[in-house]
Amino acid sequence: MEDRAIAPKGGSQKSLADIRKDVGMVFQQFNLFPHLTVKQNIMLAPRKVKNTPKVVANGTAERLLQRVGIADQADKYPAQLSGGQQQRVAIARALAMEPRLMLFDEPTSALDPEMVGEVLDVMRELAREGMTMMVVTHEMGFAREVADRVIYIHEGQIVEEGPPEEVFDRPRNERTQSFLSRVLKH
Amino acid sequence: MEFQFQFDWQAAIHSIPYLLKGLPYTLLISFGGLAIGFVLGIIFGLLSINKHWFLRWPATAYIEIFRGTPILVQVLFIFYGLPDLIGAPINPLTAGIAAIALNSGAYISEVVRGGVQSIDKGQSEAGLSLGLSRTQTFWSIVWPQAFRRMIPPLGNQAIVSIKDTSLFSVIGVGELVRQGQVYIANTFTAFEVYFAVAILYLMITLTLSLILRLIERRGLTSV
Repeated sequence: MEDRAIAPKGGSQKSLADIRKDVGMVFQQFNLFPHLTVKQNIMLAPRKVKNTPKVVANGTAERLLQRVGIADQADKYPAQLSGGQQQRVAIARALAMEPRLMLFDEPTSALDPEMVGEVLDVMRELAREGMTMMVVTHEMGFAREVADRVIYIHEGQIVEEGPPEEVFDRPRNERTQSFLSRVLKH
Repeated sequence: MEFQFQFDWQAAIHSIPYLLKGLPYTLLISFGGLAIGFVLGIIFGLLSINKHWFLRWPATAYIEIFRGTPILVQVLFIFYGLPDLIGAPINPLTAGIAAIALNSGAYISEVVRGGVQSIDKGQSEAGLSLGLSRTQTFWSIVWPQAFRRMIPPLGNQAIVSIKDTSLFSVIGVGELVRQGQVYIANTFTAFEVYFAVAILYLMITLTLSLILRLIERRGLTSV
C-alpha cells in the first residue's frame, strides 16, 4: 500500500464513508443501477460525492468505458448488456471514483464461462497499471498469473499465505494441497 | 298484481347535468385527498421502516388505525366528533378531503414500505461503496426504482379512494351520489339515476386506469 494508510482509527460512520471514497468495490452480482444508463451509472458517484462538473464526469465516463472496451454501450441500460459487459461497467463505475484500492468479491462467479475472460482481461490490465487489488476468486489460473500475494482461506481461517509460486507449487497446508490438486486438474 | 318496469332513458339522461354539478366535488375530494395522502404515505411509509423504534411505532400505529377502521366511521368522526374537541365546526368538504387523505395515506404508507423493501440490498451496498451518503443512496438509487414498482398499487389506491368519496354523501357533501339522491327525491327515478351515477364513476375510473397503463408502459421500457 502507499504512504498513507486508508483505515483511520475508530469506526465512526464518518470515517467509514471516507474509507469508501478511497476503496472501489466490485460485486459478484454487479449491482448496477437498473434505472440509469451505463454512462449515468458511472457518472453518479463523481457527480454526487465529489461534485464533479457534468462535462468532466461525462468525459471521465467515456474514457473509462473505452478502457473497459464497451464505449459503444454508453447509452444502454444495464439490462440490455451481457453479464460480462455489466461487470465491466461495474469496474468502470468503481474506477470513476479514482480509488486507491479495489475490492473484488468473486467478480466472475455469476458469469457464463465464455464471459469470464473479458472481465479477467480488464482486471489483468488494471493490475499491470499498478492498481492495488484484493480479489476473492476461484479463478486459480488468474490468481497465479496476476497476484503478488495469495491467501487461501478455509472456513474463515487463513490456512496458507505467500507468493503465488509458493502457494500453488509448494503448498504446505494439507487442506490447500487437496484443494489445489482438485481444481488444477481441470 | 300487474307490475311492469320500463327503463326510462329520458330520466337517466336528464339527470346528468344535475349530477355533473357533483363531479367537481368528487374530483376535488378524491385528488386533493390523494395528493395529501401521497405525502403522508411517503412520510409514514418511510418512518415505518426506520431503524429507530420511536419513529417506527407511531407510524405503525397511524397505519394500523386508519387501515383497520372503516372510512365511513373515520369521516363521521372527523365531521361530527372532532368539532366537539376543537370547538369549531368543520365543513363537509374539508372533512371529506381529510378522511381520504388520512385513509389513503395509511394504505399508501404500506405501498411505499413494500416498494422500498422490494429493492435488492445490493443496490444500497453499491451506492454506499461508491461513497454516497445514506440519504443520497436512498433518494438517487433506491427511491427511483421503488417508485416505479409503486405505480400499479398507487393507481389501485386512487381508484379505491375515488369510489370511497361516494360515502361522503352522508355528511352532505354535494358530490355525485348526494346529487343523485337529491334528484331522485324530486323525480322518484331511482333506478335510472343511480345507473347514471354508476356510469359516471366508471368513466372516471376507466380514464384513470387507461392513463396508469400508459405510464406503466413508459416506465417499464426504461428499467
